[in-house]
Amino acid sequence: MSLDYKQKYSFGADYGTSFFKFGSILCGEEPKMIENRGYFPRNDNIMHNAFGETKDIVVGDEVPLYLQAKEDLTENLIYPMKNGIVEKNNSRAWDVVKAISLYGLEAFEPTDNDFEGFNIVASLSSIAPRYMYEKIFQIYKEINERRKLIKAATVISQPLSVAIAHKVTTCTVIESGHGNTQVCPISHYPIRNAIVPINRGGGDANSITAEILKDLGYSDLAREEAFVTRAKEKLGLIPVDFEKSVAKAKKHPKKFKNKFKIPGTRIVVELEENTWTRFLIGEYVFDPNHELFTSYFKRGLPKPKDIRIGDLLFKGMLDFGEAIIEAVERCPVELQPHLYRNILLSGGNFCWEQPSMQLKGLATSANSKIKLLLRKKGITNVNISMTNEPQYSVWRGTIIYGYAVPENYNWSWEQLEGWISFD
Amino acid sequence: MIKSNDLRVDEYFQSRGMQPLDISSLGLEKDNLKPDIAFTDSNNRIFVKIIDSGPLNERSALLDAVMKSVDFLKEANAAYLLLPKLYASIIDGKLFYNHGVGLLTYDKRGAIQEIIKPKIFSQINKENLVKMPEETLIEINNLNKRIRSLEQDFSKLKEELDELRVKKVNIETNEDGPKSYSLNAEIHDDAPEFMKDNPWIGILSKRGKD
Repeated sequence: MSLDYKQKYSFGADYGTSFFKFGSILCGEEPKMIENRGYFPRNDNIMHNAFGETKDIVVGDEVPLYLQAKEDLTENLIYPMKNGIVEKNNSRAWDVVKAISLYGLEAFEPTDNDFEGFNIVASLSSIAPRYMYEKIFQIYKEINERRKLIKAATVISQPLSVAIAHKVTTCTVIESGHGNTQVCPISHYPIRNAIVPINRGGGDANSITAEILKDLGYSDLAREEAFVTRAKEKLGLIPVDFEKSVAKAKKHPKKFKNKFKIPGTRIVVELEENTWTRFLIGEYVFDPNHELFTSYFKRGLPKPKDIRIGDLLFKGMLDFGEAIIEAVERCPVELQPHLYRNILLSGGNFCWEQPSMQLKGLATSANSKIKLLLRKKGITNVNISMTNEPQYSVWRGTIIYGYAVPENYNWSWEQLEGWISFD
Repeated sequence: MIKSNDLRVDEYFQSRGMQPLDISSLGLEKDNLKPDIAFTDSNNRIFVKIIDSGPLNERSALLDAVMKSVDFLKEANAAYLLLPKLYASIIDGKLFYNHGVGLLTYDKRGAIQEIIKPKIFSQINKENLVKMPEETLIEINNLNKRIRSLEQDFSKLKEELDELRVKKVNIETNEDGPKSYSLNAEIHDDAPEFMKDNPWIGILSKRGKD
């Protein structure tokens, strides 16, 4: 496997909970992206009988064309991952993973004579159990049995991929997606024993946004996830000091006024006297422990729970500052200052609009909020940066990994790295 | 106005691997066969007639110069006419091609340019070629040996450079962190930005070798 071969046929596959991002090294800066889901068409319906459709599973852009009745969706539209994990014995979920993997590889299959299969690097959540690694390799083997698309395969963790993509070799990566957040210290390798997973992500921020919208009289809209996400992004503010910011907004609501119009509709959301609730959204993402949230929990806002997946406990209410400290303090003392000095924020849950200058001192950015949370706990010498185009970071890391790791480095179950050859 | 003495004809031919010949040692009896300057590349003798920009004021004089150059071919394997660039435009190139004479021009700054290549004629009395002195031949042999040795060294260095391009070791001191060693594999210019200057490439390329 020469450098030239790697520069043509390295392939990255980022298995995110919501989206599957994939593509060869020749993609350039951005991969292809499809939703991480699959639809199992019912074979007993009229359309099927009339047109003889034989697809067992549909993935990618075609999915909406196959969708049938709403009630059918729950059963047949499968999102295989929850919090980055696929259940071990959920065969339909694994069928979807196989289908999206094949979809991605076929989309980039070259016709060149020298093609002997891709060197595929799959990226999974840092808390993915060993059986997921085994299943992924098994899927690749099955794909290859039908058609040689893979020459060698490996699996790496998503936070490691992020660090690689951002050219930082010693750092702490906080990857916050829709379902959960992973804090992972990295020093040339992911420090697995130090990973702190949190059972809170962008979905929880959506939940509190929905509660706020309900209180404002937009109950119908609050049920539509896409609308709630847009509202969260447009209305949410990260407070510098939650209590002070809320107090200020309650006193001068007009200063925090922000209209949100849903594109293509006549609906305009205005918070009027309740502009202070904008800070609830931001604070909840970073630290949901303030007593103000208690009333929301009592009224039905699902409280992020502690859950156990495999050997790992996902804490629901851990604030991000505390989570970073917990992760870093599991690492050697000598390393700790370096891990604080390079904190990388990645994932859609950190995508917040920069607050206007008018709100200076009251609203802030995700970077500054983390800095403030750490300062409260006595950690001051920190440098926090936001990844560029966080949705592509993991894929970019996989491409570099596939390109750089020597082809003769065989897979090690102890190290969880190296290549499994399919030659 | 530039004169033939100002021209760096020697330099022009020497830069093409030729050595000047001492015309008086060539045994040329007839004046019309004597060139203004002559060179050899060891196998061939090349005569050059130089036209100053001053006296050439008639087309017939130019033709005369061309014909004289043709005469050179009795004693040389190739002949050139070197004349001011300005006059090149009034000459019919066919005249040169038909007779196998090469055409060189020079501009106001004395820069020489080959406009028409001469034909190389092989039928020349080899005895007329200048004989190299013994010590010169020894010197040339020595130079040949040195060139071969340098070529071998060059090939070796080129191979090493190619290897270094693939695995370029940089030892860096990072003020913000511990000393780190990075090994950068060669990245094409058209590679994506996230791959360029990425220290992970060096780190990852050592995996399995540690």
